[in-house]
Amino acid sequence: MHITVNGRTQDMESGQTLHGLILSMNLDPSVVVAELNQSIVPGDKFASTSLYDGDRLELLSFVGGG
Amino acid sequence: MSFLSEALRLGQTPLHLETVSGDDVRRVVGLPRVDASGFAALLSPAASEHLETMATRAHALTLSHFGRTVSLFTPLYVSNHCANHCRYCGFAAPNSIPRSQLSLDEVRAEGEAIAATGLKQLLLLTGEAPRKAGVAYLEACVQVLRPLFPSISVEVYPMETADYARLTRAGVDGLTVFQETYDPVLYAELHPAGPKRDYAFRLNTPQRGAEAGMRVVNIGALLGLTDWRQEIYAVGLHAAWLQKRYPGVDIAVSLPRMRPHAGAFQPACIVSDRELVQAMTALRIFLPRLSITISTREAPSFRDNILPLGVTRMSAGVSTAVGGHAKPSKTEQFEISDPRSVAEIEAMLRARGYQAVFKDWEPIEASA
Amino acid sequence: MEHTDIFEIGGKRLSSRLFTGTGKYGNDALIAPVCEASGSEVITVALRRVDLDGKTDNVMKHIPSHMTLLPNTSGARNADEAVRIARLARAIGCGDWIKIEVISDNRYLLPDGYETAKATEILAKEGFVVLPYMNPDLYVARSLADAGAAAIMPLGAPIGTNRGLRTEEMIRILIEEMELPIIVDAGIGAPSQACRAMEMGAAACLVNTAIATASDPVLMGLAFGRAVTAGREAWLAGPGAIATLAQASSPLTGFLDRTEGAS
Repeated sequence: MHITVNGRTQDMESGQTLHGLILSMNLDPSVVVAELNQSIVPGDKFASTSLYDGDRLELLSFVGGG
Repeated sequence: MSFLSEALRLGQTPLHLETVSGDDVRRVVGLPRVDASGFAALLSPAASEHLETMATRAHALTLSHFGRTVSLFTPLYVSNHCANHCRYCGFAAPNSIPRSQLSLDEVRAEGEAIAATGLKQLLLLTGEAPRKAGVAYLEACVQVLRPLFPSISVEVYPMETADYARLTRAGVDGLTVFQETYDPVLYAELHPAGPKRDYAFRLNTPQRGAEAGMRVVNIGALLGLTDWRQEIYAVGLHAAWLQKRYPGVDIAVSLPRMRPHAGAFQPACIVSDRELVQAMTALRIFLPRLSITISTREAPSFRDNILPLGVTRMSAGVSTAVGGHAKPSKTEQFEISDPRSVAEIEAMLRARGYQAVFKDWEPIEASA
Repeated sequence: MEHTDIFEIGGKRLSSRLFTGTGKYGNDALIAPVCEASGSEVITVALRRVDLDGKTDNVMKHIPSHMTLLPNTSGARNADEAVRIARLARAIGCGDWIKIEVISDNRYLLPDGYETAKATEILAKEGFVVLPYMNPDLYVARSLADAGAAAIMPLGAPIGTNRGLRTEEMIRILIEEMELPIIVDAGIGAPSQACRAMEMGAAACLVNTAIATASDPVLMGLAFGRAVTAGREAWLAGPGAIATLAQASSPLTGFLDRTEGAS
C-alpha cells in the first residue's frame, strides 16, 4: 500500500503502525509530532495507530530557529 | 472595576510629604516620565521652594502638547433648583435664594446672546433636581442649543450611564463632575442631605460618562475644603486612572478654588496663589496631556499670569446666575472675580502670544 | 551580590531576562555552551518537517534540559497556520509556551499584527502561554493583551538586521502603557542595545542572530547575559535627574512674589 509522508509517496506493509514507521525511519518518536490526515496523533497513541492506504502523514520536529 | 477602592485607600492612608527633600523634587522634575510617587513629591512642602523649576518644565510640556492655544467656553446655568444641602454652595436647598429655571425660549435667547460673542463651546449647568431639571429637560435644552454650539458639555447631577448616553445622542460631548472632596469622611459631613450624599455614585460618574460616549470628561476637587495636597493627589490619580482605562476620552481637570458665596460656610484651608500654581504645575508634569481649566473664580491678573503654566481652557463672558447673558440676573452660585468679556479675554490672549480657540470639534451628525 | 530579581511569566520563575534562540548557528553544538555562558533559561526553536533523508541533526540534543522551550510559529502566513503549528509544537510534549510569528512579508519579515491577534486569542483560550511577536503598535498591543497574551514581544528592528532599537520610542510607549511584560525581540545587534532596552524598563530581551553569528558565540552570549543584567539593575536603581531645561531669564513664577498676600 502507499501513504504520503511529508509530501513524498512511500510504500509500506499493510498493518504497519505509526510507531513502527517512525522507528523504521531511524527517528526518535519522543521528539517527533505526527499529523495524520490533518489531525494530530498524541505521542502515546503512536503504537496503537495503524496506517492505511492513502493516508497523508506529516512528521515534524523542532529545528533551530529564532 | 472602578476607582472607588483606590479612592478609599487614599482616604485611609494620607500622603506623608514632610520627608520629601529639595533634591527629591529636582530629581523628579528632571525625569522623562513622572509616576505617582514623583507626583506626590511635587506636591510636597519642599517643592514650594522649586516652583520656578516646576514651572519651566510645565511650560515646556504645555507648549509641546498644546501649543500656544487656549480654548474658550462659558457656563450657562439653566436651573438652580437643588435638593442637596452642600454646606459650601450658594445653591444649597436651605439657602433662601430665588429659584428659577429657564424656559426653552429663554434658553434659546441665552444661547443666541452667548453665540453672538463668538463662543462655540458651552457648558450647561443645573443643580440636582431631576424632577424639574432632569434628563428630558436637558435633552430639550440641548436640542435648542445644538444648532448654535458645536460643543456642549454638561455639569449637572450624577446620572446613570443610560441617561448620559441619551444626552450624548442629543449632542452633548462633554461631562464635568467634581468630587468636591475625595475624603469620604469630610464628604459625608459636607453633604448631610440630598442625593449627593452618595460618595461612590458621584465618584464613578466620570467613568459612566466615558462609557456613555462623552468625548471629554472633566473632574476636580473644590480646593479649600481640606488639605489641598491630598486632594490634588487624589484628583491626579483619578485622572490617570481614567486616562488609562479610557484612552480615547479627553480627560480634563479643573482647579476651582473656594470663593465667597451665600451661606455661612468658609473654606477650612486657604489655598494660596503659590499653592495653586504648585498644584497646576505638578499636574501638568505628572499628566502632560491633561486639559486644565481655570475659571473666573480667579482674578484677572492671576488668570493671565498662569497662562504659560499649563492652562488649556478658560471661561469668558461669565455669569454664574441662572441665565444672565440675555438679561442680567443676581442669583450667582459663586461670585466671579474675572468679569471680562469674550472680546477682552481674546485680546488679552493675543497680547500674550496665545490664540483663543473657539471651536475645536465638530461632531458628525448621525443620519436620522 | 545576591540577585533576587525574578521574572515571573507563564507559570515560571526565571532568574535570567535574556531569551536566546537556536537559529543561524554555524554549529549547533555551540548552543549548550551559549546557554551556560549567557545564563539564559528560555530558548526558541522552530517546527519543521522531519528530514526524511536523515541528514539534519535534532536540535533538542543540544538544548540543556532545564531550559524552557519557546517554539515559534515561523512559516505561518496567517492565523490558521500559526494555530496549526502551535498545536503541533505542543503535541511534542515539551511544554505549552508558543511564540506567535505570523509573517507574509519576505522582504523585511515584518509581522502581521491582525493575524497575530487572531491566533493569540485562539491559542490563549486553549491554554497556551502565548508570546506574540509584533511591530510596536499600541493598538495591536492592546488587542494582544485583551486576547490573553502572556507578554508582548515588539521588534527593535527587522529580524536579522542587527540594527538595534530603531523602534525605541514606540517600545517606550508600550512599556509605559501596557501592564504586560514587554520582551524586545529582533534587531538587537549588540549587548549595549540589549542593555538599553532593559534600562528603559523592558522585562526581557530575545537575542538570536547577534549571538549565533558572532565570531565567538559563547563569549557573545556571556556579554549579552551581563548586558541584560546591567540594564535591568540600572532600571531597578532608578535614574537620576537629567537637567535638560535651562532656567528662563524672565521667571514664570515671579508674579507670585509681586502678588499681595495669599488668597
